[in-house]
Amino acid sequence: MARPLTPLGSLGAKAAAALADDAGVREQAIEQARREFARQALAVPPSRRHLGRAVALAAAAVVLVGLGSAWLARRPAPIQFNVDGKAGVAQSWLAAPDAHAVVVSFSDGTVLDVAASSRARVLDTSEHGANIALESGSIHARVIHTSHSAWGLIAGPFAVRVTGTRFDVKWEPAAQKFALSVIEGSVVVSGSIVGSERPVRAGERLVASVAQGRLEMTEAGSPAAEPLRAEDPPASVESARAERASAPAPEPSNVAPDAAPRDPAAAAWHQYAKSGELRRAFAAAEASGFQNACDVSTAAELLLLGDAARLSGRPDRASEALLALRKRFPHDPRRAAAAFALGKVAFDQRRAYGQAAAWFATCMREQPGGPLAREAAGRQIEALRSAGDASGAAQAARAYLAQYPNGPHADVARALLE
Amino acid sequence: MTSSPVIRIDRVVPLAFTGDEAALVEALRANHPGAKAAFFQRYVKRVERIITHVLGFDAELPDVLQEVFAAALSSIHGLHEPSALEAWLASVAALTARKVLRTRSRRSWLRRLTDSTEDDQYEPAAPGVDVEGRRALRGVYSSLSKLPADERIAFALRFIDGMELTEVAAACSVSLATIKRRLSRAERRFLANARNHPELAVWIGGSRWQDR
Repeated sequence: MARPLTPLGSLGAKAAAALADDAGVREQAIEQARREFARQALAVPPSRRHLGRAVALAAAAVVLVGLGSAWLARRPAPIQFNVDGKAGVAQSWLAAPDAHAVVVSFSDGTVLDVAASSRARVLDTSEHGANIALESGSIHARVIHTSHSAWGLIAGPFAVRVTGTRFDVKWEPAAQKFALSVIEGSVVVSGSIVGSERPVRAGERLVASVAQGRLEMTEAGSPAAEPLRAEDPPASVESARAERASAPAPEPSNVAPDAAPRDPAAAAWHQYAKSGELRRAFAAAEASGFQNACDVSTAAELLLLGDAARLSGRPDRASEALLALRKRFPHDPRRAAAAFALGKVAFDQRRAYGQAAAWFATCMREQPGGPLAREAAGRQIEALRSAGDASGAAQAARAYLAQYPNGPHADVARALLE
Repeated sequence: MTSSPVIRIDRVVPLAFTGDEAALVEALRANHPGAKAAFFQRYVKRVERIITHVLGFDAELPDVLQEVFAAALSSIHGLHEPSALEAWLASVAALTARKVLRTRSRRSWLRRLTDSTEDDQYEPAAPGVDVEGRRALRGVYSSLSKLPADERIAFALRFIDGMELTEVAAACSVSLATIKRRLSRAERRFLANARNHPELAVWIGGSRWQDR
């Protein structure tokens, strides 16, 4: 790709670079789209649009209308479900509090324990089952088997097809890690690095790390197969249930879509950040305890918090959030984006050009083919030049031109080498 | 407790469909669930850049991205040349962006009443941020907002996304001659609008377009 070497080409490059500055914020949008797209993977596939088939379907529909009322009268109703004893609604957000799990019980006898601090949705129900989305955390499922059972569960890029079984499933979106332990029966897993449908049977445990492209299958009970809920917060499903037997009734967990995240104090900044109001988000995070936000937020949230602080003119807080991300999530792919943002903070706000160059180099080293690699390479030239490292800048410029001869910093690189 | 023997498959497994685009298209047509995830994962960054370059900062980005991939899946059977998957997806993205722009254009009278903060997204948020870039960005998208959807898309793909002319033509599903004419009109209209934005003067002032 090459922009024309004209003023409009340069203006376009400037606009593209300014847009790229906020790539981290748009990661949230991509993640949101990915979740919804993955949910659709469980839906019936779209059919080909052939006129003839459409006509045939229309004719069939006319016939079916005649049979419709009789069929409807006999058609079993979709199964119903309760959330902690209260009637549940499809698509609503199941946000288990930190203190205990949420129990989702279906009218066919199936029970899901949504572990403490986990997030899930019952996407839809039919007369034969339901589709569940696990957005983060873990679920212990006991699915009742019938000859027509049809249950589906999606967790990140993975889909689990269930007939009747008992299993634990866990999805960590920040670490892009999926784990499934089957206790009874069997399920079929597909998606991402698992590829086509792979059965997982009783006693087996499958762990997939999307970020590392790693797939492990172990037998339960083996030393390698650590308990699925070992990494869960202290309040496990069973202990939480026992606690609840003697505790006051919990707050309703079946709340409206897009409700608050795990910590009400963090809810305000998170909501502002999601709606793009980053300065307000930062102010809210400060008000509710910035350090706490750094301690409990996910990697994606920390990246957003760093952007919010950076755009609010608080390089100290931005660095705090971004360094927390890099420290707390040593295997997260967003570490490179955090390094890039740290480079920008150092360059733009602290005028610490040598430090900025080091962060841009870190970004490139950690994700050489990543979405920010080109911008990092360009910004590294500027940082080294500003730091007075002429030979380093020239070397970076040559490397940039070799890899991105038409990149937005190509003019800067050429000018420096001339 | 005695532990059972370990059966451990501890190896690096390649991402599904790391082969060519043809294999991915075939798997998508077979409704392979892993293929859908791989399709999204492989192309979402490219699609996001196209959409962002055409629309600018956009609060509805997740919906638009999802719409692009849903539209692509529903019409994947019509893709004649599987090796051109990425280029074809770019045209689906351009078409979706066009639909979004046209829908918004029809709703513009309502947006004028309700949405007064759109430009705020381009405001430099703090000292130290690339103020010049932010202001240029605001000027660019303000100028683009007055262009017809087809011209805006062509302009954004050519000058902001950096596509070659042939790629822009393919993305817009028109001939090379048509895209040249469209870009020429888009440039003229953009420059006329851009003159109302002093922050763009450094790029358009004294340029060859002023002499026309």
